[in-house]
Amino acid sequence: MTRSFLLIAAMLVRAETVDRLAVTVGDEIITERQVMLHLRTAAFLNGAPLSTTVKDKRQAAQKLIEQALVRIEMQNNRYPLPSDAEVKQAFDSAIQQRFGAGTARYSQELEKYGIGDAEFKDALRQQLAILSFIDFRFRPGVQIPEDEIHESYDADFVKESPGKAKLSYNQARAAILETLTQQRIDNLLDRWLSQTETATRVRWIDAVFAEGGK
Amino acid sequence: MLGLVSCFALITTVASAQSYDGRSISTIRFSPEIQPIPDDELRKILPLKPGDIYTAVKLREAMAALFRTGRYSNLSAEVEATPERFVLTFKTDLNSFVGDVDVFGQPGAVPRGALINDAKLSLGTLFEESALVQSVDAIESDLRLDGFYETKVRYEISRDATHQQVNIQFFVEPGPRARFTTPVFRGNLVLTYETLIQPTKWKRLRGALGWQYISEQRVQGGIRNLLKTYRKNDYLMAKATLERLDYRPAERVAIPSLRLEAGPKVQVRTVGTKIAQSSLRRLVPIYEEQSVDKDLLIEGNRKISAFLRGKGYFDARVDYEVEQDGVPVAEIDPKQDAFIDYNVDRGSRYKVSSLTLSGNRYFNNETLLERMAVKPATLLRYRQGKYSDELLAGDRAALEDLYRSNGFLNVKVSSSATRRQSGKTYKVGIAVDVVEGAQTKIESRRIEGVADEDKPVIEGYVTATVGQPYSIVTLNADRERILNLLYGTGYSEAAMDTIVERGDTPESIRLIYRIKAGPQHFIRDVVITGLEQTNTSLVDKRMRLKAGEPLNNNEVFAAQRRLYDLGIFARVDTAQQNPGGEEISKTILFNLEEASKWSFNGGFGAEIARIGGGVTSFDSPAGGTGFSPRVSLGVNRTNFLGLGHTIGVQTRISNIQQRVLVSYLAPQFRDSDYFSFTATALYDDARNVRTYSSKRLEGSLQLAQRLSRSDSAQYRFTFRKVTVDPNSIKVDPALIPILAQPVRVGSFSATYIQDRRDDPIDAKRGRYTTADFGVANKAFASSTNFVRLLTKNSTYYKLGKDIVFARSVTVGILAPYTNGPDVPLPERFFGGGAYSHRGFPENQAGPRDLKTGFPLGGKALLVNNLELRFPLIGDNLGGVLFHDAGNVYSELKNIRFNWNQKDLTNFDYMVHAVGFGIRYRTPIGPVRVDLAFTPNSPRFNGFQGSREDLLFGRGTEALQRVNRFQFHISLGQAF
Repeated sequence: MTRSFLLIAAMLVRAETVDRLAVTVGDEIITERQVMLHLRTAAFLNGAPLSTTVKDKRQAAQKLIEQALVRIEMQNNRYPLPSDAEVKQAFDSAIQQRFGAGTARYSQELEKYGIGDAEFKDALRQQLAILSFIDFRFRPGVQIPEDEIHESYDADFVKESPGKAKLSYNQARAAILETLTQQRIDNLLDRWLSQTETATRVRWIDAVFAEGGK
Repeated sequence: MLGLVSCFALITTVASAQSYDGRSISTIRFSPEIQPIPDDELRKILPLKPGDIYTAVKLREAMAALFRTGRYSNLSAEVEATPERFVLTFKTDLNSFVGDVDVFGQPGAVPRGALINDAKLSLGTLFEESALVQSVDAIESDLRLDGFYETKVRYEISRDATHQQVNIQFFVEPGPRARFTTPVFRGNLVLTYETLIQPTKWKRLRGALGWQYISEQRVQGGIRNLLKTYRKNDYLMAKATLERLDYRPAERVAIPSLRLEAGPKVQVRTVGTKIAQSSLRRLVPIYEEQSVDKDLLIEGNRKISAFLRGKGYFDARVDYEVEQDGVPVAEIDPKQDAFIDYNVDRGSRYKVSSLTLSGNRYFNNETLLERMAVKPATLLRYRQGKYSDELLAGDRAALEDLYRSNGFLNVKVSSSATRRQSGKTYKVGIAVDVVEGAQTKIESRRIEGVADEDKPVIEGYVTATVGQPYSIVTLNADRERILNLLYGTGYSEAAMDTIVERGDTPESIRLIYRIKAGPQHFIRDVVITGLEQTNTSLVDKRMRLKAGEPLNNNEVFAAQRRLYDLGIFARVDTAQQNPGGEEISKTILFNLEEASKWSFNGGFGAEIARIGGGVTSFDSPAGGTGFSPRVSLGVNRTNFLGLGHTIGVQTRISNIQQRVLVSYLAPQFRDSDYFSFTATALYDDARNVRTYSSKRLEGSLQLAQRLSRSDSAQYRFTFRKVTVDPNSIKVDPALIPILAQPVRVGSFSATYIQDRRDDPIDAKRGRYTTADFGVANKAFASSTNFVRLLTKNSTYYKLGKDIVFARSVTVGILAPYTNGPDVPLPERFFGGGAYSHRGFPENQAGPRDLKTGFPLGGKALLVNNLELRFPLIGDNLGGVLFHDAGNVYSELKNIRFNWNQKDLTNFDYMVHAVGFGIRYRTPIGPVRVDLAFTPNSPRFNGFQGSREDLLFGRGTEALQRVNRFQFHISLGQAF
């Protein structure tokens, strides 16, 4: 009887797909599990419910492709990686922002979203590395002419806002410069990503992104 | 409800796959079970092993490692988990790689290889069927460029699952080919339509035969010629653009539409000195670039200055000025005609009278002068010498570099140029002073990046040692040797950095060889494709690459060379399959394209030399100037029976020779790199010795052996029957019955060849030796018994940079060794001519018939040649002074060195010839003209009269002499 039960139980054991390729970027892979983790992490950080529609998955995969392109560039050109201290600082800051001082809630929420602590920290490390790369790669090439800062000041700061003291040009200059620089960096990054993606062999595995399909 | 959702999600995605992190893996499987990567290699690649703790992160790393092998197009991982076991299965879809690519049905006007290249499918690279659409487009586009507008291309693929390879065949249906028709020219033409249409050459015979077929080459050539026409008419900024080629299917023509903009007339003039227009066109780059801008005009300044400096005007100053509408302008207006005046102040003409070096101890003057662009004046080549401040500065830098690369890190080279007037001439004396400083020595040397046990092996390849002078040359040689060793043992990604650090003293350095060996690769398999007629074993035997051995790229190229050496393959492509894949073992591909089985060759030429004179008359026994046109035809059948052997027939017909040679060649005989076998059959009807005509039937078997890189040997058995035409023989009637006997010679001979010349076509240094020894014996069905030895030794010495002294001596001995008949006439030595003794016409040296004066050949030969080869004008024209001494002698014992001919019946003396020759360098060897003067050329009695007169004792004797002036025109050096 026991043997028969075990035999039946063995027959009922089904192979479960634990991970599969979703996208390939050059020699790098993005697995479906990574796509899902990306969605979970985003939902976790935003405190939003998890949504895993095909559209969500596609968007997440696109983000991961961009990260992979940056990672390849960083490896090829030996860009510096963030240190453990930097990762810890970013982690503390994220937790503080999301949960205040409650680390217990952090663990509960992580479990709720199905994310491991190591996975979350790794995602943070990746984010930090990419931010550092962007700064390293594009900031030195951005030069904002003084005229443009003036124009921006004239357009956005010259009018007095109710309840706000009007800032002088010298007081506002640093903030305007940083905003304009960030805009330029974003533009440069977008252009670079577009060019790099075109030059890299990126292959989507259709089955992963098919509506309701396998 | 929740459970239902959860179950559904389990089946469809990995989204909700439960976490198995922390389970111990009991088994790892692959589906399908048979994988392209061998099991042991898979185990090495995978970071997960049975017994390991499973985590999702490790799984992803494992999938990434598998993907990086390049073998898989898709991967997924499945888990079968029970409390007792945890089975991880990788499900794989395989990639395919490009194999043989071929094109069929292409028109004759378009080379097949070009279309294969258009497909951009490289052997061994990843195959994607979607890319074939682009390949088809590229082939069709290429064909359209050649006028095949209706071309259709389709493809078929065949898969070789065993080797993950896909063979692709493209089938071309070219359709009709379009011709040009009356082109449309738009824009500001300036020139007439007729003036423009002719240079395009799109009409056949100026239109008498209609229009040419369209081809990319003709279209581009036409545009180039149009621009050339504008250039000739001073429209230097003319532009010609092909706007379109409109195909009209009904008429099968394409109409070229071109936009032509003549632009302004631009004339270049020189002020202050006269420079030929042809030189200006060469020197001022606006002609070549078809554009006029400041940079190009400044470049013109520089080139004109250099041109004048080359003529000795070392202080020449050149500046340009642009004039439009009669006034000078700074920038040229592209809408107006312009004059460009180069104002030239030549200054005085100088000669580099001396170039002296001082302070150099480590390198001698010759080594340093060789590296200098400044040259002192020479009689012919550099009449004014070469000098300018820039050249001298460049030379200083070059000398300092040379010293630094040999460890003299503090070297200083200075120079001074002294100008003085000496009568009407101005002279420049250049002094270069070298302060060498101390030579840096190697204080220590370290090898990094290899295991301790491997260091002794690497050490064996290193020549830089502690205490030795530091030299970049040595370091580079070490680097090359070490990397070659690593590449040869499978470390194909090996790299090495040479680091030089300052030592404890200023004159010492520390040397570090930092090696990054990278992964070692092995051979997984060798796949050969493309064989149709060829015996597979023929190729297999030339492969020394074995599965499991370290991948040696040098051996891959050696196998490729061996296959090319067979002479039966038009293309031998070799590549690694999946080249970018991170695999330990690699599949090596050889894709072969068999050459056409039949090849034909033909040629015609003519010989002008002292080969003339009547065929039946007795005039000009020493040869008159004659002309002999020659036609040669040949056909070869390669890869006979798929064995790589070649059968060929070569014929040559001229008015002094008719010849047919049938040959059978087995290269790499019995699969050896060192042996080749040749069998030949020859029919030859010749009158290349003026004394007689002969018919020769000859068969030979020859085994050639390569002993070393420079040494080789040949062993041959020859049987020939030579029949001398008794009616052609021009000797004393009493000798005719003896000399006109048919001759049968069976001989065994061996030849040793040592070739240590730097360049076999035009040697500058080295030596060349041949020794041929043969025995003719009745045992070999010979009618006479004799031995024959012919040796030649040539050596070449460089005197300075461009002057070569060459010498050569040839010794030949023929000796009958039984009391049988004498050595037959056709077997004797005949000498003289462009490649022998230039004091004689072809085959005119040695003993002569005492009655008629025609050469009879001899049984001994001694010729000594001396040559001084030197440059004359530029790099391609050279001169030669030569002295040839020697003769063909009646017997070995009669070899004499005396200057004077004893009497009219004795020819055993040394004939001397001195002369001058010119050599014009070409890719196939120097074209040669030699003029020789022979002060002691032989005198002899000739005969005036007819053959009947000779037979009946009529006619008269006439004193004759081999002309003291001889000329020779030929290809290649004399020796």
